Amino acid sequence: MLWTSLWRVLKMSLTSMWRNGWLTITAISVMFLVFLTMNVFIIFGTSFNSAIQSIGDKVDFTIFFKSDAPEDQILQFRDTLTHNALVKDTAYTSKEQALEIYDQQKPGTKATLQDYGNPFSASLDIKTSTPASLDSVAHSVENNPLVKKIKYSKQTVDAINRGTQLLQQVGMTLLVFLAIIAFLVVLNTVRLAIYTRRHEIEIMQLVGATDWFVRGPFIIEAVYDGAIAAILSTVVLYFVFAHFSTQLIDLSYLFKIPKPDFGLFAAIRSGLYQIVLGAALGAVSAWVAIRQHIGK
Amino acid sequence: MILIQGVSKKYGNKFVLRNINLNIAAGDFVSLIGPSGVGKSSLMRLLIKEEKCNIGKVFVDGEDIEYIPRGRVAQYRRKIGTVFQDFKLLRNKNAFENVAFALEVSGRSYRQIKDIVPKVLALVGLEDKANHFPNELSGGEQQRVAIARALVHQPKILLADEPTGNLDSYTGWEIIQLLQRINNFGTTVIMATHDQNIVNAIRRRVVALENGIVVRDQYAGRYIS
Repeated sequence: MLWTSLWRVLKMSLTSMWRNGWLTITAISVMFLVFLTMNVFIIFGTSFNSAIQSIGDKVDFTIFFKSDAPEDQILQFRDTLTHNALVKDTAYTSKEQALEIYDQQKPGTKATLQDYGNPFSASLDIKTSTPASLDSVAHSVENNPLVKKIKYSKQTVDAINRGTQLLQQVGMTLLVFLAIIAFLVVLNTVRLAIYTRRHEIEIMQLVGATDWFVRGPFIIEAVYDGAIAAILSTVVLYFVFAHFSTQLIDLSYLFKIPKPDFGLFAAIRSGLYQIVLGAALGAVSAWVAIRQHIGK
Repeated sequence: MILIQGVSKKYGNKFVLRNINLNIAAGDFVSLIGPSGVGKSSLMRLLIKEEKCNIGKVFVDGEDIEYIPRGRVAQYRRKIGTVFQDFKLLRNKNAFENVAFALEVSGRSYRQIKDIVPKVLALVGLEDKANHFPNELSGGEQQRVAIARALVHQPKILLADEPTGNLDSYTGWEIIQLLQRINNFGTTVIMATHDQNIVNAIRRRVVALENGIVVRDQYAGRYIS
């Protein structure tokens, strides 16, 4: 009996979707637009976010060592720093390497400079795991007896830190707002669709349908609507991105951001998430909406 | 079959039913009469447990309906057929599906549905309109579908709330004849109406309501305005 009822509810929902054609098209269209907006925001947001992170990645600082600092101690110091969780990467340049680099930039100067006893210092480039940890790592090494000076622009680092944080917070806030708006739009669309059919609910109850039997078709219908809207938005977006691939590369080059990615793999992954989300959103909206009409 | 004891019902501070006492036996055909707003529909709603009374008791088939739990209301309603003035058909289902729906909700098998529904549609004279949607049927035909749906569970009681209210007098009379035939099979019929001609023509039990009070209860009664 349970399977018979379940089968009937599933079949009833499909029939009802077909017979309430315009209502179904309206509900799916609104959900489709909501998903499309969310998708575009997330794809470009992700791209923009990685651009912000790459700015942070470019920020590093350099430690210059005293000319009399023994190299073995410097290397030991580097190894200690490498094990620091806040340090992402280090690059050591010995006095000799610094001289070689200078000679490559200005050929013929190496011999003269060697005569004066190589004026370059050994140095260590430090890249931290986050721009925010740059300051604390720099502070922890500045009093080391091997260190002559640390080169980095505190103001630039602070500005970048503040900027990236602000942009990420703004992005997150916008995403949360967009998610709330999306939920409310879908909820109201489903509510309106159910409201226009509230007499059906009353009739179903009058002929002896249980609450479950009344709710079932409406919820399943909203689940179908949500899932179809999710599939449509993914497919449309995939083809739009594929069609405008060249323009997107130009755009990303112009704004110095990574190319927004929505390839086949990303589309399938995003599509699956959206189908689950769309179906769940539809089901919750229908459940909430139908509560107002059931049990009267 | 139905015992109503000292029932009163109020909306806000206004009483629509006051101290109603009625005993309706199995097989009765009762016309509840009175102008609009005297409480006929409220009494119907109490019987199908769409509303609760404030005071008094309602027994249907020996059961105090006040104590039917929410989870069993659907099952209870399947024992009572209901017909309304506005037909209350599901617009996106055809005649067959509207009648079948009442059976589907009670978990009947497809074989039973295919067997029962055509018979009930034939009983109300709509065997050739099974595939028609409500908007493709006349008012009288829609009411017949509603009656078929009400009968599909072979209920002991049939409640008809102004069943001829939206129909012309000829079609209305056809519906009344159909209700009488159903009553002849042993189903208790309670009909709310303010149609004087119908009540006077059928000469069955008449319960007259006025301001929520039973002012007259007569067997083979007439409509006295």
